[in-house]
Amino acid sequence: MSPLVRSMLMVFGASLIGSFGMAFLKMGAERTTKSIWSFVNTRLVFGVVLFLGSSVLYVAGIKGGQLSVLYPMVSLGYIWGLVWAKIFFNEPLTRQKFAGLGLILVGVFFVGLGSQDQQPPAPTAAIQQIRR
Amino acid sequence: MLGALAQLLIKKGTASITGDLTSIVLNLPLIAGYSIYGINTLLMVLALKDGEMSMLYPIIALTYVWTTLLSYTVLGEPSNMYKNIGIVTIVLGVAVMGRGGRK
Repeated sequence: MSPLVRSMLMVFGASLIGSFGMAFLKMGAERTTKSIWSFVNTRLVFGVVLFLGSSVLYVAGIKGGQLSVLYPMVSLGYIWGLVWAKIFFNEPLTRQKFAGLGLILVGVFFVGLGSQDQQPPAPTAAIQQIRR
Repeated sequence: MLGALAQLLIKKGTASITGDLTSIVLNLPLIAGYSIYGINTLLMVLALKDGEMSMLYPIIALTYVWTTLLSYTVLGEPSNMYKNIGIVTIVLGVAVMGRGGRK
């Protein structure tokens, strides 16, 4: 497996795990009260654990370079998040949410595009991988 | 219902995430970053309690905006056209998203 594909899979996994983390955080957050101890509930803790796992995968993944590819892939998590919000919390998916998300994805792509020449390690190798 | 408070909390929270990212860039101990990340998570939970997940989650993308602005000011990186286009588009997207959440 080429390094780029491997980092893409890692970042993809991170986005998926992270979005589940967010869903559990939301479930846990709804159960909190004014008491500090209510913040230590199973769903919340599980959400945090998922976040930690996701960030470890993410950091390992973006080392592989090609940030213009990898950054927008992180934002895939926002799309999963929208789906879970609909399924688990029955939140309305309005046109504004889709439009806003679309703009955010485009924006993140550009930030990634602007970032890649500033990241020293792997970009050139990753670009060569893509050209093959 | 998403109050201004939740938005403020998220903005503060995303600013904290950038602390995490810049700490990686600056090669500071990762622990420092994670403790900031912990505060960020707490703020996120407070926001999620009353806010919609479908809105709040993408707003985290403001992290990229803060990271970029921080890299300009703190790290003194030269301004970059792609990044500028990117952060303006993200802010626009968050604004559109914010309008969609109010009922």
